[in-house]
Amino acid sequence: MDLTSSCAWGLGLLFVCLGVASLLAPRVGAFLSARGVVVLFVGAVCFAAIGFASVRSRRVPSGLAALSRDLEAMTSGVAATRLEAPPCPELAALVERLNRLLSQVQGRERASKDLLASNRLLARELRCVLELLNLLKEGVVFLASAEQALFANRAAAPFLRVSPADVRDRTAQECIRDAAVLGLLAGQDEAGMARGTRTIELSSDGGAGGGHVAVSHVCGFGGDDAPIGQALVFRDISQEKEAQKTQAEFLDSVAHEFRTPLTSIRASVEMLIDNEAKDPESQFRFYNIIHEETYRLSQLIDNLLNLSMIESGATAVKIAPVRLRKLLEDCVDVVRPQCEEKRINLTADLPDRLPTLDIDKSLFTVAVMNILGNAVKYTPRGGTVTLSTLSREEEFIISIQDTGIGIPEEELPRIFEKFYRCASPNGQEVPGSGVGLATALQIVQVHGGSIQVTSRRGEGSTFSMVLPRSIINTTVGD
Amino acid sequence: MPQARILVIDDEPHIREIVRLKLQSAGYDVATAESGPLGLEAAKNAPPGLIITDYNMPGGINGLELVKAIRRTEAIMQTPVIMLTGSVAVAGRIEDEIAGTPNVVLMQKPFSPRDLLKTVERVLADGVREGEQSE
Repeated sequence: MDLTSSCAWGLGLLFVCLGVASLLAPRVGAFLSARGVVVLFVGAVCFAAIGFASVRSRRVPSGLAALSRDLEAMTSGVAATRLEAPPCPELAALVERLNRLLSQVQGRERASKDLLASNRLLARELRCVLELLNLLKEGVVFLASAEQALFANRAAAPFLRVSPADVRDRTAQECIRDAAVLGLLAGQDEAGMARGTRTIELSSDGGAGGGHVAVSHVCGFGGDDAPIGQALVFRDISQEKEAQKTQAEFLDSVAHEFRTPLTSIRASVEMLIDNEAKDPESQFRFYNIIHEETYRLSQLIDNLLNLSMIESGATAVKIAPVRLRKLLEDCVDVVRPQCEEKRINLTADLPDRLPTLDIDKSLFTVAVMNILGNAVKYTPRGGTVTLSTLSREEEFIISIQDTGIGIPEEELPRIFEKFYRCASPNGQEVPGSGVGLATALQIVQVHGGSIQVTSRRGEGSTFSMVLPRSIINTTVGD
Repeated sequence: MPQARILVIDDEPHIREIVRLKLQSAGYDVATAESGPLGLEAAKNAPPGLIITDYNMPGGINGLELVKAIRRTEAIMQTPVIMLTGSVAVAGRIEDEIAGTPNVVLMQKPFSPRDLLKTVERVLADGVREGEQSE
């Protein structure tokens, strides 16, 4: 209560006291006339009214001031989220309305903050997605329509007329380098976007810097079936094409390698049926061809199966301790009859003590037999084939040396290729499948080793199976 | 009794031997060679009436290249050729490639010596009929 209203109340109270006193005390009443009493009451009432009005008129500004303070505090962020109800009813409705407005503002503020957080999250996720798209080795281009490109990743660069960073809002025509790819987009405007993925292949002249590229095109549709955009994916399929070509060539070689011995067998049988071989010597010759070519077919099948299973990992390599001396002697025993027939001096130059190796006995025998068999096959009558071993600090070596026809130096790098057979006319005199050395190398590699070859044409060859010493089993004696 | 000279070129010794025996048995004079270059040389030195060659031969010259070389060599450019191949895919390619090359017949391995002899007799008698290049 301020000074004005206090004085008014004080004076009013004074008039009331005087009026009451004049009624109660005759002296005082005598002193004051009846008219005076009336004046006193009227004055009291007036002053009371002034005091009351003054109090009321003073409560509104003070309520507003409090409101202002609250609002001020609220804007500085330290006050409560609601305004306190003021003592005067005139302001209560205003405050209530303000509180409702405040509540709406606060609600919008919260929504705005949520939206901002959500936008930040989206922006972070978008950056992440774009960065991941840039890491892809496939080229990716997104378009809202043929008239508006949205994004291209780095790998798409060879297929674009502009930098991937500059594709945004350009037309497909301005961005895409290849006409065939533009053809994929043609007619795929908003009215005519096709569902499903369409793919074309670009050859080396497709603007991708060589090789083969598959370009897939897909249109996206929203929940209301309205088109939302298109994507182009450029994938380098050069390796797949090469693999297909290699596989086709491989199958072709396999077919050829099967048909060749089959031709000899069929023709020999027919010659015998047609009595083309009239004397026993000629007949023996045809029987021998059948025998040799049947063995060749069998070897071809075995080697192909081994090769295929090792390459595909379909075969489990069964590593177990194997006495090397026994394995090598068994191999020598297999080729000994051929050597005797060709008068080849077959020597197994093996030390007294040979280690036990941790190897797959069956596979390793195939590898040794393929190399030893070649040595005997390509060594002319009266030559020498020597089997030896060498223990070095880092490796253990099994060598097969022959005095055969040798391999021309220019052909050495290719002798382990499947179906490769030396062009040397002498070499071609001996039937072979062309997969024996490839199989042997695969088997030795499976055991962690390699095969080294030294050869001189007309003088002979040495094939060395170089194995890591870790292959030696130290717990089992010879 | 046929007297024509036939040159057999194949890197497979058994096939070379069987074809030689079959044709000799039919009365032909047969020479053999184990590679394209050696076969071309032999054909130049003593032009045969017919050449039988394998397609898949090492030595830098396969059957098709041999045929092209033969067609460039005056003495043997008209000599009919029977080409043997063990590969179906290759046969398809050869058929395309020899479409414009006259006097070449393809035979698929494994072939029958009887059928080979019949083809030899027909080609020597009538030449290679157009459009019948594959047996």
